[in-house]
Amino acid sequence: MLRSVYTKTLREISTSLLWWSVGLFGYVFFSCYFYPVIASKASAFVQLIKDVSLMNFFTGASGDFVTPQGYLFSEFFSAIGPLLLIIFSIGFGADAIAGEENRKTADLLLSNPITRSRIILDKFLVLLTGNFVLSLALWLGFLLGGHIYHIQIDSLKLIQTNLGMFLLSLSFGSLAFMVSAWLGQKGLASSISTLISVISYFLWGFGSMVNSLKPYEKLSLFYYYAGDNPLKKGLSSKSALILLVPAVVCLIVALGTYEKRDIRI
Amino acid sequence: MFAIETENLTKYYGKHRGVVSLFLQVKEGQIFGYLGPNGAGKTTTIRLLMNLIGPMDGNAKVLGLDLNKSGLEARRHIGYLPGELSLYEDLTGKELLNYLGNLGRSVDWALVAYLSELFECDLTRPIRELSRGNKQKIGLIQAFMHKPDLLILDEPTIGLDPLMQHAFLELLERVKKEGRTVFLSSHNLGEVEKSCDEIGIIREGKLVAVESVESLKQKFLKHIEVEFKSAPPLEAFAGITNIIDIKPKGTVFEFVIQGELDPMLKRIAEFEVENLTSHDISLEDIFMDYYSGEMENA
Repeated sequence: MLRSVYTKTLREISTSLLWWSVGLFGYVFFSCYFYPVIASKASAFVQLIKDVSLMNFFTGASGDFVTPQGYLFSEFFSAIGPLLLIIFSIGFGADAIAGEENRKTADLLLSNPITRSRIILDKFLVLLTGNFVLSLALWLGFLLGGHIYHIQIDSLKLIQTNLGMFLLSLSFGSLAFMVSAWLGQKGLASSISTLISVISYFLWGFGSMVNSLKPYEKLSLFYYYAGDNPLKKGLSSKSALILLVPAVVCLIVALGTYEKRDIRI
Repeated sequence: MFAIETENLTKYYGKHRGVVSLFLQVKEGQIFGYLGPNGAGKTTTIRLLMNLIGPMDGNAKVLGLDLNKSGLEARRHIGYLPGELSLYEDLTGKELLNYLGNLGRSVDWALVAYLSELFECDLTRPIRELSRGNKQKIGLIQAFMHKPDLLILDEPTIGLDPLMQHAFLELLERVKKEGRTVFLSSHNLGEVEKSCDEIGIIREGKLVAVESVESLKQKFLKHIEVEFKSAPPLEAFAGITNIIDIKPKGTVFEFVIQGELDPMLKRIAEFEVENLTSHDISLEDIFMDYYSGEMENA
């Protein structure tokens, strides 16, 4: 496990990644467990959502809380799922490069005959792996929960939704990663990325309810991920591409800026 | 050939000075001591040599390799111990050495075994459980373990007990015999005096002296106390240019001399001398002289 920066870093986060995966798997599984209860009280939920327009915000603007797709989207995919993944992703992204400087291990690491771009690529690969493992845990949770509690969901759309969430959290994680590599400041990297992700979330969440925000909702990455419930309509290749672009741009900027800058002492 | 060669190397951190127009040459096969008080620019020099920071002007070559173009190749031949050593706390010593060994340099595990025995270092314990001194030993082992041609060591004996400091000096001797080069920054002047062939003194970012310890001692001020049977006239010592100062106290004269002693000894021999005491000058005296400005004033 100590053959490269990639494996060393993966080992560092392995315990945390394991517990995150277990937690997300459990959350998703129990969300499926509660679905039959929700479905049995469908009419009451439909009435509640009609009466309280703000519920749209919490149900991912779909207004659907009782179909399997609507329930899972509202319960998990519209907010808690992506936000949990983003928290993990930003946490790792901010620490990836700046953490070595904060803990003062960067001098030792960089005194070896290894290029800075190699370090960036290895650490970014860990960001990708972490997001992938969590997305996989979620998918497995839905697969098992859906099977046991007879929730009928198109498996391709479930994979597309997971992919969208993976790309969304990867983008925000990449933003934190870029700031971390560029400035070497972990706190700043996580603050900037968290602020932008929260703004992005609210822009999308309120965009469907507040007319003045409507023109700006396309500025939010959540718009391309969630759209109008990917569990129902899937994730278009255009949306997937738009979600991927920030991650690629952030990686390129991280490579360029880390190569030349002074390592903080 | 020089193991280290810098030309007009300059680094500022915003308005704060790091090093200014540094011209430094360290010959291959020598142990070079790099001295200076805190903030003089020692660590900046070292971090420039390790490519951890970039110069604003000038350039540096290590083992004949230009750091701007071949920094990676240069690092392959350097063993480095940072001044503010921080290790991966989640690993054991052996795991750390294994990890660093996988980052582009081959490790001589027989040498690791020798070094861990020399420093009495347990490599099986997690680093987070180790004392400062034991962490320093692991830092030293990782710097030496791939038999580098050049060792750059920033405060290598910090936290080591006197026995381990002695072991470290032994190791330097071995490295020197093998014809490898050591660039040593230290506040431990006794250690520098014992081990270094040549020293460089940096003050306020500028290199103010590069000489062998012996030569520096020659150049520096010597304090000699002479007790005469009866006090000679002060004029008797006029014209001896390397007598910087004379402090007569009755029949005891304290001479402050720079350079050769011979002219002064010949003159005092003309009088009846009862006692003569020479205070051995240490590297610490030289260092203090440089920083108190006495040398400049002289």
